[in-house]
Amino acid sequence: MTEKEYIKSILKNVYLRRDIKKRVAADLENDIFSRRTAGEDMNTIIQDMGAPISVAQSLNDEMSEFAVPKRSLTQILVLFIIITASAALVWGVGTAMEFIANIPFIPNKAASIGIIGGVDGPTSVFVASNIMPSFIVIISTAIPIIIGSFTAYMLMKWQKLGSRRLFRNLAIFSGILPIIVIFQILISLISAALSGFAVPIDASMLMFNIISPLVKVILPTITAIISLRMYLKKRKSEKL
Amino acid sequence: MEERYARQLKKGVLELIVLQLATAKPVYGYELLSAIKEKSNGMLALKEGTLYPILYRLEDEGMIKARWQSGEGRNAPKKYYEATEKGHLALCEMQDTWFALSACVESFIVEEDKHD
Repeated sequence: MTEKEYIKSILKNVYLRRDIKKRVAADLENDIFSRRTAGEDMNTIIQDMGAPISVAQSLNDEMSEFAVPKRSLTQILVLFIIITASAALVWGVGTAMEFIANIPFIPNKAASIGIIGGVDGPTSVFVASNIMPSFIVIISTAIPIIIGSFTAYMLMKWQKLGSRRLFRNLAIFSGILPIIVIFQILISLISAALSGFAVPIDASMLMFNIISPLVKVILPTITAIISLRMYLKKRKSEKL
Repeated sequence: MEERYARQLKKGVLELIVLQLATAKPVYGYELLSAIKEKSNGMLALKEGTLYPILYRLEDEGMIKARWQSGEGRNAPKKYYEATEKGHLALCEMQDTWFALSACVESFIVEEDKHD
């Protein structure tokens, strides 16, 4: 085993913060060099320092305060299920709404034209559906899912070790979307109310405008609530 | 039992010994390991996995600081650890604690022996 391989296999089994790992790497390199200068060969060095796993084990044990939890298969699986389920929900609600409304547009487009449709009727529905490029619709669907998944992942990773500040930032970050969505729904409701719920198409549009964003922000809302709770818990425990 | 007990005891004093050595002169990791092993006749022999955490703890608390310094006959700089002013002060306190503690423990042992 060469010096580099030895250090690499130690670091592979060290589950500590990245900055600590960097320190360990620098010190190992330094000390192995010193030993070599003192005339030891690599085999003697490994014998004396110990097998990579046992060196890593003792570093992990002695510095457990800097530990980073190993990502387990379950966590990755849960993340995958969450992403798939949210995508399926968004798609499912879209399809269902399309079926109910029997609108010849793709559901994502229908979502983007709802407000104008509510105010002005079929003419502007036609206009809006042509103006709104579909990639924006795709992004607006993808962003909540991405943000939700990201924050959910961060929460899983930092559940035990996260600082108060981290949870505060996570709560703000994932909380922005639900707040925007609430405004969106309010605007939908107001515009629908202004039009007097007159045309049947508006009712289904209104339903779509309320349910679709709600489904999209389920994940960010959940993570926002959990992060907020973690933040409050940390703050309380720090005060004590 | 004996081994676990010895390990626990050593753990507490190693920090004091490492700081003591770093106060005398700037030292690098391997130098510390060999110095401790030699002076203690192998009784306090420790490995990198135990030494680094002690060094990092002392460094994070500002008692020692790491410095890269070019060694003799080599181009790549070597990482040296040396005690800071805070480290010097902390060492004095640690020594006081050690003397007080060892005297106290000794008095127990001696007293018990007298009763026997």
